[in-house]
This record gives sequence, C-alpha cells and structure tokens, in this order.
Amino acid sequence: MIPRRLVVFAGSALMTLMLAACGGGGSGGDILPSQPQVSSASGSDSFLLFPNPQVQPDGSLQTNSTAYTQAYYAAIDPTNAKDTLVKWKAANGFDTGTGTQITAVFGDSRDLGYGRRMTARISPDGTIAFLVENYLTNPGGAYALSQLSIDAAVVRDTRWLTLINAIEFSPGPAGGTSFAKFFNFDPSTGRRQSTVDLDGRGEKAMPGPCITCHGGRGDALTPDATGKLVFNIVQNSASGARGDVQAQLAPFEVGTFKFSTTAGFTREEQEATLKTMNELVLCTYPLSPSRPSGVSQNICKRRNAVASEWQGTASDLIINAYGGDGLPNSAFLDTFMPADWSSSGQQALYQNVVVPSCRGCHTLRGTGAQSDIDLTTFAKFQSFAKFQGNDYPKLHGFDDRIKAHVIDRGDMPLAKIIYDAFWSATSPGPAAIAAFLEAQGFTVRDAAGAVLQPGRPIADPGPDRVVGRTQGPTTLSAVRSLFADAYSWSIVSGPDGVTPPTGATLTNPNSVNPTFSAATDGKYVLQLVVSNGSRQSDPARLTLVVQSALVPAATAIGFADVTNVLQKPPCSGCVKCIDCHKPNVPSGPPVFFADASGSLRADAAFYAEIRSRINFTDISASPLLRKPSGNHHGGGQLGGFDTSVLPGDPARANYDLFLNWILNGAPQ
Amino acid sequence: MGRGALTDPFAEQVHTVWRIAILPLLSLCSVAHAQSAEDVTVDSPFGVRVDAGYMYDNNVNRAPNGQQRLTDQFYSLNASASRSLPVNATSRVVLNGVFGGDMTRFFPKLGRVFGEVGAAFEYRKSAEFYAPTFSLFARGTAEHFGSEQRSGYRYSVGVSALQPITDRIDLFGVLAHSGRNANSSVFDANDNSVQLSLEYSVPSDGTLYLIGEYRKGNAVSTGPQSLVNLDIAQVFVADDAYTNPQLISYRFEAKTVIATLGYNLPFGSYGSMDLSWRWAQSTPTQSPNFPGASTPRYVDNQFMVVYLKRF
Amino acid sequence: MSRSRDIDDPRRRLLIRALAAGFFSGSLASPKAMAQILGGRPAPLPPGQSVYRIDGQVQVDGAPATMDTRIAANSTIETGPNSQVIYVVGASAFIQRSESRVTMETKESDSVVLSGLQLLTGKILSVFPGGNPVRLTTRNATIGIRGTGVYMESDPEQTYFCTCYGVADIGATADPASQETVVSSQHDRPLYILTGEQAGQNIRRAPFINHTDQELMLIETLVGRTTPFVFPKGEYSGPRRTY
Repeated sequence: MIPRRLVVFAGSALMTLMLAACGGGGSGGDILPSQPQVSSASGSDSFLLFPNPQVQPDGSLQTNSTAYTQAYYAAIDPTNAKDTLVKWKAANGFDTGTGTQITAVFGDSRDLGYGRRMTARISPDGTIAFLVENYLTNPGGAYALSQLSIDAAVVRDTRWLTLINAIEFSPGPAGGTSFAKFFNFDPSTGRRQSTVDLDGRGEKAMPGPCITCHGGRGDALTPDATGKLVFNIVQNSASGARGDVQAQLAPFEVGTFKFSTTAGFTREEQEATLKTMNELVLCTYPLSPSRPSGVSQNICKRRNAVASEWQGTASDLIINAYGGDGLPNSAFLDTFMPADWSSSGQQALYQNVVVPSCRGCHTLRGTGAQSDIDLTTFAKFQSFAKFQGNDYPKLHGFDDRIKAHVIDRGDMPLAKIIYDAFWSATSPGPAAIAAFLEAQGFTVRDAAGAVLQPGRPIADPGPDRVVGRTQGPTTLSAVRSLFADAYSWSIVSGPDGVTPPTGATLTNPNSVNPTFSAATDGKYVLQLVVSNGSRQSDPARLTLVVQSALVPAATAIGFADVTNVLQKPPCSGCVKCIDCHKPNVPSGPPVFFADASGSLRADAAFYAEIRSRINFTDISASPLLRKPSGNHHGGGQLGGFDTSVLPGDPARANYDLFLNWILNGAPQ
Repeated sequence: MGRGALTDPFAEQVHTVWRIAILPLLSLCSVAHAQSAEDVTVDSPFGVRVDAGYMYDNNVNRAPNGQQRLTDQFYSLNASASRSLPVNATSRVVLNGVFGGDMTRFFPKLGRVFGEVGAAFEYRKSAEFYAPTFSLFARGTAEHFGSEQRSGYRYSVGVSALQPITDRIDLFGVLAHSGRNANSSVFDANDNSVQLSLEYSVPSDGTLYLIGEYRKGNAVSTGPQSLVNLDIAQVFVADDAYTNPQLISYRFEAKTVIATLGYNLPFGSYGSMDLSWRWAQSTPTQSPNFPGASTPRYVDNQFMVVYLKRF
Repeated sequence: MSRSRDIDDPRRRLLIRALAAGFFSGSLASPKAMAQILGGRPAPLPPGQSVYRIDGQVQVDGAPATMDTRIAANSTIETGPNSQVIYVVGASAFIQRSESRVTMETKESDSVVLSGLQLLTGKILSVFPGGNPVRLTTRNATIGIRGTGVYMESDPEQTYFCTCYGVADIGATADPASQETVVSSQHDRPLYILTGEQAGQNIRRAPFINHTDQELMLIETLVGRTTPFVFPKGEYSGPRRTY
C-alpha cells in the first residue's frame, strides 16, 4: 500500500513542476533559416508590376501571365537555344577564355537585398552579357540585405543561392541592332524560369519583374497575321525586333553597395572591376549627339542613338561618377547633380527623394521625343505634380501622378526595399516630397500634420464625364477605390441648387456600383466616401454633366469611333494623331496609328495596340486619354481634348468619346 | 533581503532563488520529516538529500572556438528524496523527486529553478553478489529559467544495468532517450545516448568514477551570427540571456562525446564531497555548404565541487 | 613508532601496499596484490583461508595478520587506525573496522562454530548462519541472535546495534529492565544501548549509520550465502546527468 504522505509528496512535486515550467512550444523570435526572409505586404503590394498591367476582358493581368512570358521568349529565343543556364553561358561565351570576363561580389542594399556575385563579359563580337548569382540568407528580421548574404556570395555558399539572373545585350534572332534580353535560371536545375519571386512578394511572370525597373515597356501582346498573340514591336525602336522592350542595363551605383571585409572582396579591391562593368554598361547605351561617349573605343564604340529612342540619359551619371569623359577616376563617386535641379534650388529634393527612390529606374526611361519621365530636371519632375483645383475650369496640364503613385496608391517606389526605405521612420523622403507637393497645392498631410501614407482608404468615384439622361440610368463605379471595403455615395449638388437636387436619385448608394438618374439636364456633383474598418477616406467628388442624349450613346461607342478621331483633324488645319503616329517620323512615338502611306492601320494588331494604351486599373492615367490632353505628349494638347472645361463641352468632345468608350470596356 | 538593496544581477538572483527555491526546499524537508515508520526508508533518517555545488564552465555558450567562448560559474542547491516500493521479492519501484535551482555569476538569465519527478522499475534476479540490477526508468523535469526561451520541461526514458565487477568496482550502463520542450524551439532538443560508468571504491575512502557517454541528437550553441552557424542551424533565435552583445543561439544535429572523471569523498555524518571534471565535445553532423569550410567542433570543460548531505 | 602510523595519506598507503605487493616489480601484479587494490571477486573462501582482505594494521592473537592467517573460533582480532579486515570464521563472516578489538568465543577449543563474540571496542559487521544461537557482548549490551546479520559499534558510553535482518534479543547489561526483541527484514530498527539512564530507558531508537547492504552481501558471499533482501538499501545514485 502506498503511504498517504507519499501521495502528498508526489502531488506537491507535480504541482511544483507545473507552476515552475509553464513552458513548451516555440517562441515568436524563432527563425528557420530554411525559410525565406519575411517580406510583408506594404503599399499596394504591386511591386515590380507595371502600373498598367494590361487588364484583359477576363480580368487577368496580361503582363503577369504565362502567355506574356511565353511570347517574350518565343520572340527572343524562338529555338530555345538558351533555355538552360549551361546553354546561355555557352551562347554568350562564358568561361571560354575569349573576350573580357570579370567578376565582382557586392551586396545590393538599395534595390533587391541580395549578395550578388556578378560576372560580366564582352565578347569579341561586341555582345555583352551579365550573369548574376544572387544569395539571400535569412538571419531573421524583415527582407533586406544582410552581411551574411554578401559572405555567402563571396564563398558561393550554395545553400543560400536563391536566384540566377542574366542579361545579355545582343542582336535579336534575326540579327540587327543589339538590345537587352532578360533571363532567370533555376539554381538547382539550371532551367530557365518563367516566373521569379525577387522580393518575397510572390512569383511574377518574366520578364516583368526585371524590365519594370530596367526601363522596359509593358505593352500588351498583339495578334500576328494568324491571330496568335505575340510580343509587341515597339514601333520607334532601333532594332524593330519583337522582344525589344526598350529596357536598358542599369548603372552600377557603387556607393549604394555593401561589401565584404574578406581579402579580395573589399570595395577598394573591386573598384577597378566595377568600373569596367560600368564601362560595359555604357557600351550598351545609344550615344546621343549631345553627350560624350565616356568609354574608350578600345572597349567599344557606342551606337548612335536614333531620335525616337531613349537617349542614353543614364550615361551622364556614370561619366560624372568617374570624373568626366574618358572616365579618368578609378573610384566611383556619385556627386551627380543635374544642372536644372541645382539651379532650381531643389538639391535636397533631388538627394532625398529622386536619388534614393526614383533615379535608378526612371533614368532608364523616356525617348528623344518625350523624356519627362527620366526626371533629369526639376521642371520634368514638377510636370508630374500640377494641382488643378477642385472646380471647373481647371488648370491646363493638370497632373497628379506623383501624388497618385507615391502618396495614394503606394505603387511607387516600385521596388519593395526602396519603398520600405522611403517610408521608414528615419527617411527624409516623405517630408521632402510632402513639402514639394504642398508647394504645388496638393494636400498630403493629415489633421495631425503627418504625411499621408498609402494604405489608407482612398475614394475613386471615376472620372468626371458626360452622360445621356434619356439613354438609361448611369452606373457609377467605386471599384477603383483603394484599400476600401465600404462605400457611401451621395448627391451634393445639382443644376437647381437644391440639396439633394430635385429629380436626381441614387440607387444603392452604399454599394460599389450604384445607379444615378436625373430628371433634368445639367451639372451634378456627387460625392464618394469609402472606409476600411474605422478608417474613412477623404470625400472624392464626381462631376456628371447630364445631357438629354449623347451621340453616339456611351454604350454604342466602338473602335471605329475611336479610330475616326485618330485620323480626322478636330478642326481645319489642326494636327491629327496620325500625322505623327506613323513610320518615318523623326522622334516618332512608339505606337503607330497609320501605315507608311499615312492611311489608318487595318492590321489585326492595331486594336490591341490601342487598347494597350488604356489603364483599366487607373483610367484617368491611360495614355490614350492623357497624351492627347497634353500630358507629356510631343504633340501637345490636341483639339477636342481640353480637360480644363466641363464634360460635355465641345472642346473636350473627343476626350469624352474616348472616356465613355473606355468606361464601357473599350469594345472592338 | 530588501528589494531596495537589489542593484546587482547576482544579488537579484540570490533573492529570487531564496524566494523560489530555498523556502520550498525547507517545506520539502518538513514533508520528509513527517515520514512514518511504515515508509520504506533509505539509508538516512529522513530520506532526503541536499546538495550544494559550484561549477566553473569554460564554454558556457558552447561556442566553437576560443574567441567566442564565454565562461561562467554556477552555484546550485538541490534537495532530493526517493522512496522504494517493493513489488515482489525480485522487483521494486523507486520513486524520486528533486527540487532545486542554479544561480550564475555573469549571465543571470542562465539561472533556473526546477522540479523533477522520476520513477524506475528495478529487477534483480537474486541477492547473489554478482547479480545485475536492471532498471527501466522515466524522468520528467520542469524548469524555469531567467531566460524565458529556455524555460520548459524535459524528459528522459531508458534502461540501465548495474553490474558489480569486483567488490570495489561497479559498472553501470544506460541507454536513454531524452527530450526537451522549451519556449523557444531552439532549445527543443532530442537525443539518444549510451553511457557507461565505472565506479571504484578507493580502499582508503571515497569513490573514484569515470563516465563515458555518447549522444546523438540535437545540440545548441550560442555566438555571433555567421555563415557557418547559419548553414548548420535548424532554427535560431536572438538569445535573451546573451544580450550585450546580442548573440544568437542555434540548434543543430550533432554527435556528442562526454567524459567525466570524479571523486566522491565521504565527509562527516551522512555527507560527502564530490569533485569532478567533465569534458564534452560536440561535432555537427552537417557541414557548411561552401568550399573550404571546416566543420566546427564545440568543446566544453566543466569543473564541479558538490557537497552532498543526507538527512 | 610504527611505520604505518606515519601513513595518514590514503593515496600513499595505497602506493606502499602496491609496492609491497610487488605491483611495480616489472612482472604483472599478483592476483592478491591486484585484489587488494582493485577489489576481489567475492566467493566462498577456500577451506583453510580465513582472511579475505586486509587494509592497514591488523593483529590476530597478538601477531600481525596476513592473508594466510588462520582465525580460530577463539581468536582475538585487533585493528589499528585506518585499518580494516574482512575475514571468515566457520560459517560466519565479518568486516571489522579500524581501532576495533574483537574476541571470538566457542564452546570447544577446536571448533569453528561460534557461540559468542565480544566487541570490546570498535565496530564490526557480522553475518551468522541460521539455527545456531550466538551471544554478542559489548561493554553495556548483551544480545542474543540466531541467523542474523548485525552491525555493532561499542564505546564506553553506549553500544550501537543494528539488526540488519533476522531476530535479536537485546538487553542492557546494567539494566535488566531494558530488554527488546527486534525482528528485522532490512535495518528496520537500529538501537542505542546506553548505561546510566533510568531503569527500562537504556534502549533507544538510533539512526542507520556506517554500514551498507553491499558489505552484507559481500560477507554473506564469502560464506556461501545471500542476504534475504535482493535490493541494497537506497537506489543506485550515479552522478547526475547535467551536461
């Protein structure tokens, strides 16, 4: 028999055990090295996706689709001669002892957070290729560069080899002018990958994650003569080749890199190699007659730029960093301050915003005809921030793109690490951009004075427009509102000055798509407020001009109506679209509306190319609307596209036609 | 001890252990004192043993090389009691319980209080001198460290055999599986071990013992983050006991060899003094994944003095 | 002064004994020398052998004892400081500790059957065969046993007596009123037998001290028997696993 005191003793011991321990299970700080670094969503979480992703009628995003990738590689590698790393390296002459081949190891702290082992080479035929092994360790914490990733790249610790990227600068399959091509290979199998997750925010279709930052265009696929969707040809490109998205190699901004302390891999020891790499990058840039070559002809002879393409803007940065033409200095020193930024007294804005958050990608964009987007002058930067006021008539050249992308949508900066750095607590960026936008008239701070950040509910009631009263109720849409899950519409004013206006109704005012009806013609102002939990948006206004009937009716507008505008002058002697949008025009635009004879295009790809100029995720940002309205358009504002006047005004009849066509889904 | 006087982490540990460990210790003794005559007694009046010890550890963080090694000193106080319950003439069940705590000199959060209960089923075929004693045992320990990550519980199950070789020499062998479940999964460890002990009763007095043990399973090391330890780690955490500078602890698979040489000298009535030196070496089973990397080895030496007293 | 009195370092005594046994003489040590140091393999002693082990200074009937000394049933065995001897007399076996003087008693001079044992001073662990009564005496206690294992310590003021197993009739020599019979299975009732207390109060409960079940098992083995219990008192407590 077990003595009672023994039972008491055992019970006391057990109680002690339970009270003393209270343990077991994992703690929140535990990190599994085998798992990738945490990369949580921020902003609109659309990193490395085109702001116009080419929404298809079925809602899919074409530039992030398998079809897009397949079309790209069908264009640049139709015989799959480079569908493995081994094949690609062989095709580009790696490790053959020919040409010049160099390797550098550094940490990319600003852009992608990898330890990078980069091998570059120029072959005797002038083709240039870069192969990058990307190492990403997980030492805990958020997604960012760690010194261990650099160490892994130095010793080539295959456990942390995450990605293998490659860029080659070579002619297309049919020969001709070289252009940049982008590849990604599986580190384990060596097979070419169709998708890549560069930043922990999910797999995305190649070549999108690369070319969004390398200056590439995100045009839609277009049907060939057989109807098969193929990669679009950028009409003003020098190569004229499918697959040439006008992307560029980026300068190596050595000052933004981190380096190992291991002998042979310090910055000082690799400075010369990195300079050679920058020279190879320069070799890929077209040479504008207004700019020095930079590189010695012993290395390469840069191709003269055609007027319509990107003019090698980024070469200014490289040449300046190495002390001028001829690159006399051995070490990279970024003191580049474009003259206009300096003379405008905006050095701080340039250093605190443009350099860390914009320049890396934007300096690779623009064309000879229209280069505002490269932000190389304060005036260009300012052209994307023109406040229009809240009522009509509005400011000519209104542009809210900086506020829209940076403060509202959160899809710029486009790279996650850069985005998170911009919005970090110690970053000078938000205060600098807020001061700039406020100076342009925008409201970018909350009641407490803090700079507004993306992620807050933003109401988007759609663009102001003209509607036909007798042609049925008007369906409104709040679907393009951001970070919202509840909606509240109201009618603010009407032509009779009564609130609510007589005879005007809103059906389902708390839905995404209410319907609006009016009994009388005139200007109506509606208001949309959206919310997400307890957070509420600022009210956004929508001006609807009601006319008894539109001709054609909004739902009856077809592609033919649109092309009619493209080919007809809005007035006698006025410029029409096809005057420039055709072949053989110096500094011509990238999309043609007419053939070489000047006749409207009739090929199968034309509709797709026009539709490609519509941004269904942000309709007001559609180039098809903005360009003829005078926003960053070589042709300026065209007749019938004056958005400073009320919808329905004849001065914006063409704009209203285009807008209603787009709102109806842009049917063919 | 007034709380206002506590400015030294070591002194704070003393207070904590006094409050958590010493007072319950005294109550444990009082429980033992109340044992009735019907209870099976051990070779001391109340069947309780108290031991107070000091240990110097020259690699408390189990680091792989000299520069990263940290030393510490441990002061321990434990009380244990056991009871035997006969099953039949050749088998019995032995129950035991331990309660105690450690304090440390330099890394306060390595200190702990713990409670342990164990049971063993023992079988011995006869009372013949050379008849071996076989045991099937299980033991569970709950422990609370200053380091929250380390707190949790452990268990050990296994079999053992005690075989007299001569009237002065005993051979003891153990096969065991041990596991640990802590708040941080870094300290969740499992291993299988085999241990052989040789005990020699010195003719003059005391017992000399030599223990060899081989373990295969999880081990934990603490040090600065490096590519080597990141490569072999299954899981790691910023250690809450080593915060200045901040070190990480990581768990990995390893083979561990432990050797202990000790001497136990009877000391006074129902007392003894135990001196020992323990050497342990752990070798990871996985090597770092880059050319030229060497597999680290973790070597630890512990020097212990323990005074044991039975009541 | 005896050389042994200079030896108070156990390690030195061990070394000297090893030298005396020829342990370092080049050839492998003799089995006896090895047994002295590493312990022997207990087994019933061969006929004619009385001594199993000698540690230190031991005299039998006034003469220094060796492994070959024969201890008769009426011998007197004395141990010096830091000394111990394990020996057999007939079917009885003993561990006599240091500074002890024991006289064996027998009814016939040439018999090996013990009838009594006098512990004049010191400590002794004893096992006796069953069926043969033996009288144990100290300065102040008289104890009758039959087939027991017992442990006694004797000094002028008191006797410590533990009936390890078996039956013992215990009496205080100077106090007939102090009598007790103990039936024990495993050290159930150690006692002090005192002198000078009130009548009937000269036997008192005592703690368990200074002897082990392993020793009992050893000496029972020397006489071809086993203890009645299988498990030594207390569980095996090897060094704790704390690494």
